Amino acid sequence: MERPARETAQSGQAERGLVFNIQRYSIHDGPGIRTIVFLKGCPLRCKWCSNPEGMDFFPVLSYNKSMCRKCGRCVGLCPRGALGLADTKDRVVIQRASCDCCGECAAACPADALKVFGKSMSAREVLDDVAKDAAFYRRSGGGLTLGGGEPLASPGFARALLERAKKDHGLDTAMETSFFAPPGIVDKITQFVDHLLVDIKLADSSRHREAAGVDNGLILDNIRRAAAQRPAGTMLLRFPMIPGVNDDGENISAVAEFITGLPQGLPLEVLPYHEFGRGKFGNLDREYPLAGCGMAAPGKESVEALEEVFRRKGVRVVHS
Amino acid sequence: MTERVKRLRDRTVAARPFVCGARGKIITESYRASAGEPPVMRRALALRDILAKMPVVIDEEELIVGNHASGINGAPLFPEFSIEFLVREMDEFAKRPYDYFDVSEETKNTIREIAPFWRGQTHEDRVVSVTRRVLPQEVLPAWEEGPFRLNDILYNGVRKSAGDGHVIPDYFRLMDRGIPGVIAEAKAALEKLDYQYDTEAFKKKIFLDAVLISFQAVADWFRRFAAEAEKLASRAARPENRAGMEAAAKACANLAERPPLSFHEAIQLAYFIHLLLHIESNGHSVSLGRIDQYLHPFYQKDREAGILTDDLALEFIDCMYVKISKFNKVRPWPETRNKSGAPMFMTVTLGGQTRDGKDAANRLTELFLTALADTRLPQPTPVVRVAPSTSQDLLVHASKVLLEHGGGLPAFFSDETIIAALTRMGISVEDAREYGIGGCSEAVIPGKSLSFTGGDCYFNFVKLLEVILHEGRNPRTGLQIRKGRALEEYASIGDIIEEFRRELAFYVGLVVQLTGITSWVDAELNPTPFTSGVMAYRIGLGKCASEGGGPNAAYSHTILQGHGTGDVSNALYAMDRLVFQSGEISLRQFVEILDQNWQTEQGRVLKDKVRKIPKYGNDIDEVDKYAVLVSNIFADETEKYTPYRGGKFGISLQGLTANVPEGETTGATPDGRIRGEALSDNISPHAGTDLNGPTSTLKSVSKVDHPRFVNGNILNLRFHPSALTGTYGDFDILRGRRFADMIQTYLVDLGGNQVQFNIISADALREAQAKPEENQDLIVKVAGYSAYFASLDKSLQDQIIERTEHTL
Repeated sequence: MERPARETAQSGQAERGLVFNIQRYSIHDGPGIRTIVFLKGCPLRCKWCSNPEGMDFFPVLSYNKSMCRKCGRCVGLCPRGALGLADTKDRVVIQRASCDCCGECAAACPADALKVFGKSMSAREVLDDVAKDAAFYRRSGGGLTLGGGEPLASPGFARALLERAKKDHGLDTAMETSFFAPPGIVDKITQFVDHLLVDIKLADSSRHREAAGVDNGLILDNIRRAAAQRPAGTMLLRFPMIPGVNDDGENISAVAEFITGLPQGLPLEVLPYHEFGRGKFGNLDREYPLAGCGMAAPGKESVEALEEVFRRKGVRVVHS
Repeated sequence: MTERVKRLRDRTVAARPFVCGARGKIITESYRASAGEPPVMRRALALRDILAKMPVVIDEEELIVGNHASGINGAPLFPEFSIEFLVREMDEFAKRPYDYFDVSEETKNTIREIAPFWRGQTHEDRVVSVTRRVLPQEVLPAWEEGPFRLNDILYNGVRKSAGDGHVIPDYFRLMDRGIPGVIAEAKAALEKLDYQYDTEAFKKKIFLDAVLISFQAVADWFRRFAAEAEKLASRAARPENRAGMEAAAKACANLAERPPLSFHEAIQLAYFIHLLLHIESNGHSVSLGRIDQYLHPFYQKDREAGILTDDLALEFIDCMYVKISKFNKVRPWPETRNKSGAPMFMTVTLGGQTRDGKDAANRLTELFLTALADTRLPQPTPVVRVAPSTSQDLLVHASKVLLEHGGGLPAFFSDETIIAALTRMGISVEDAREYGIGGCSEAVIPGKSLSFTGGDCYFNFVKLLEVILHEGRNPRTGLQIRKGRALEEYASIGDIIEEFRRELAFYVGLVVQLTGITSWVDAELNPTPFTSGVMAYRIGLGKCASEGGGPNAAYSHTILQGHGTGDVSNALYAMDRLVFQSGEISLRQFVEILDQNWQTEQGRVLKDKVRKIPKYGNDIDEVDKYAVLVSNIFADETEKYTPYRGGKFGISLQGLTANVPEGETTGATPDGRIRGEALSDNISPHAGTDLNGPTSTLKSVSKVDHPRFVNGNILNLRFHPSALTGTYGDFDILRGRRFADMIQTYLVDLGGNQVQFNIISADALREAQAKPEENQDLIVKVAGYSAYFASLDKSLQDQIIERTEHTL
């Protein structure tokens, strides 16, 4: 629910949202030393997602079997009887349908094997936390980065965080986004973003739908508009290199063609696929969408070769 | 690294540690002959005899020469400090699990032969007998002479195996005047003595004579090296070795007659002086000071003259590092455990600012860093001073070296904080800007500061709290030397903190005497005429450095360390939460659970609860405030006193590796520690409990009032190598910049004191622990020094593995 734009400067601080991680000393997502605030909820379903705990718009209970001591303390504690020890006694089983993510089990878990992702926080609470590293931001040119999930999918909260970060704390702001949102929302929020980091995954709409669950028309339109409107040097495109999904010549050519056709020559960074998401899917009792394709992180040579292809097609490839 | 350096390095690294009997034999003969002479004269004559008779050993490939034992990695004997441990432990030296020494039958015989002469006459004997007379009767039963522990709370090492060390010579003047300059100064001072009106003139005469004898002996010793190098040159088969030996012979001969004129001569002289300080009294933490500053004029001159390239300068530096890497000494076993990994704490200070506040970094700063990555050795310990004017490029280079060295070097120090600490003690800002790091983290004004160790006194804060929680009784020994308060009397955490202050004040009161005794015995038995001669003002004063005093009382300070700040902070916070805020458990019940070492069902539940309570090191004010409180109590209580040598107590929250043995004598504590577990190291959070990223750890630690701790507060952080490398393992300059930003924020903007890093994954460390024979060369940063991982106590290895691994 959007608030009227002419709100008083302070009011956005009461805006609340679901945060699933606040990560300090992040140095890959925007300039300098940054803190990334991960917002819950994403409309996309990318198969290679490395933050599946951020997909849903509601909290989610995660269970890490290898950390679990199998003490069973959580089982007796659950008010809804949603937890039980497996017959094999080697793991806790969660009745996902009954769990309401109250978090009592996680609070009591002695090994932190159980964890609820998605904490309701006010913008003020988040920013008080983010502001703790202000000295590091000042020294390094860093600041706040919003990530997710998809921050544009929590427009009121995202906007409050970014606006207050700038106005009340004087922080530099960045946002990682899929750009899958209506243009009105994009504009309302990105005006408070100093550095936009936008994914570009696949140029072909149906392949995009197949790999990420949604159409890319909105995304490409938003990129075109932003490239036309934003000052130079405030936007970076990122290409997640997923072997067998989007690293074929056809897609590379089409992506390159799209980028070179933009009104502003945007730089592109290649982010090689990694497997960090695999275990996290398991912890949520979900199947890893790429399970069984035997995919490995691409080696240095193949990443460099891909970068070279982009370069030859006129794309400015950068590393951050 | 050139082929020459590589060969020298490999031979050095492979050399097994051994005990060398030569010095022990010579000094015993010398002391027999000098009976009746005043101590300072006996010391000078002993140095003369040692330098004249000790074998001169040169490897014909060396560019820099000098030795203090009959082979690489030899540890000479210093029977004048302690003989008992040598006799008692000599059969055990080779069997130690780490820091072992081979001892030949011949050396054992030497020890047996000289033992009767020294028994009852050593530094240790004197300190022990005096301490027994001085300590209050009610305290004496809690004093364990072997490990030198007082009620497990206070370690008073007596510094059995060596003299005081802890100096940085006035290298600037030495480079200017050389050895002949010191001789001339001593002669001039002798000329000026006023035997009629100066009632101390006779003492000064003896002291100055002793200085003169020492430095003349040094010049003669240089000549011995010149002769030996010449001999090797004439025999050398390979032309490059012949040329090297000829150059070494010439440099040594010149240095006996005049000040250094070239970079080669200057770096050779620096090495000789460093070596001689060890030969005289074997004290550790003898440091090289601002070597990139005092060698720079020679570097520049030779570069301009076209007789020196950067490659050659680097080769000289590499050779010097290789030579220094195998300085070694035998310590008694309990002291070894406090300082495991065979450290000598020989620090090299780089960068920072000049006397007038400008950026001091130069090309040599970079080369001394590069040499570190080149040679990859645990010693010496180069550190980088970080001033507001320090360039980020230098820190990026230092970060690259940190990654390539792989063993935690260099460490980084804050100019702002340290200069504030020194001026706070009464040192001028110009002098303060000249500071070098001595030992682990001690701020030392080269040529001026005398950091007396007074026997190495450390406080175990965690044990202190344990005794308080047992109403004044030490549960390990059952002894009670003071009446404590009943647990029911504590109505708030503030009450416990007040008791902590009262209890600490008692031990600090004892330390005034204990440090005084050791310092006094040093001056009485083992004065240091050579050390005095390399200091700025001792000759003019006519008084040995071991006596302290001088133009500014602030130049003298006596070192004290407080250990376990992180654990005590966590313990206080946990008690406050569970006992006083929520009231879910009484203090007595809590202590009963600790006495069971958490091993009851109730104990296990409580331990899990405690584990979830926030810990120091995560930028949470409610916990961190206890670290501030505890450290300030330590500062308040020590600042009240003037130590025996004048000046102030120079306090520090660094802790060597003492946290391991100290942990062993400390029971379970409310922070969740189990009985015997190592304490939190230095000023670091307890291993593995800082979970909020490196910036939050730095923020937490920065809350401590660092300028009150002139001798430094060491912070250990461990990073996965990916913090500095790209996806494919090579150094990544952008990550290097962010890393530099992080260091600068902590040291320049947040008022931190020091920070050091191990850049290695836990997996790699576990692998090294499991297969030590395949990982002999793995170096890690321990406390103020680095050491081979394989040479560390297993529990210390465990703790380093448990340190939180910061990733990105």
